[in-house]
Amino acid sequence: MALRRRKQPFARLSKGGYSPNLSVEERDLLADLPNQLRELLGANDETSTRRLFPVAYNSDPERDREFHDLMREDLVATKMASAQVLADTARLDMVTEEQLFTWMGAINDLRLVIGTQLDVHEGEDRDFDPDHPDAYRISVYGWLSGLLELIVRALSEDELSDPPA
Amino acid sequence: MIRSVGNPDRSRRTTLKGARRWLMPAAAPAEVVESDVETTTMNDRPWIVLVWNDPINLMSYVTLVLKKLFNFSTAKAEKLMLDVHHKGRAVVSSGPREQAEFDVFRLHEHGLWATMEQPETDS
Repeated sequence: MALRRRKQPFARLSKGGYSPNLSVEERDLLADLPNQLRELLGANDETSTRRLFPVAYNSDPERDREFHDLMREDLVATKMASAQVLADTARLDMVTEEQLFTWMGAINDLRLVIGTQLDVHEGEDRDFDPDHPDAYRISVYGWLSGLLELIVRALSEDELSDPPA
Repeated sequence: MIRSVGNPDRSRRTTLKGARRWLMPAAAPAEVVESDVETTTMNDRPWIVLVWNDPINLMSYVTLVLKKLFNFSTAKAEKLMLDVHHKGRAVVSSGPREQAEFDVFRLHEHGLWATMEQPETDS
């Protein structure tokens, strides 16, 4: 738990890969949420998942429909697969860089769905209200946002050699 | 505008699928568009791919995705991300329609609000 001093989360291992260093409770949640996401995707729950399928052609509904007819299935498959990887590896003590990239995408998908459900708006910075009917969901969203920042930071630290501008 | 191409869906799908690897940089544009046979004037004008500001995606996440997908330097990816954040949108790539659709798809894979359009004039 957070009260106990613990190792740096998503620490890079000298032998390659990363050690998530998460608590048992966090791992349980990380293993469970992707299954819920897969259920929503499988049920085609537009209300919750619409942010996962953005418009491609802003001013051309015909072409946009064509694009989505063509690509939606692949997009669903990618997101299903990423969610599965996160569910399957959430309790591991070590993940590869590729797996951590997949975690990053899957966690962002979770944030997009929960953020949509919570109707998150630009510039919104409200204090946490425990009496809010969605209080638990709001806290999970905040936790996922923090995790994502930590993962992005861990993955960005390796980028020491940039391609020339 | 209906495109005058024989079975475009199949070639587009193959193009998109063939090059799709999680967070891998794009293949060289030449490789992606080579197999496409679009010759009308309309289709020769380049398309641009835009990323739009949205209230959910984290700034650091957007920067890393742009770096990974387009092989941008950190400085360039950060500048584009800040343009998205402050100006509401930024052009992240341009090219033939097939390439733009591929880029849009990869950006959608990563949850970014990406659209494509064909500007009236080259600029």
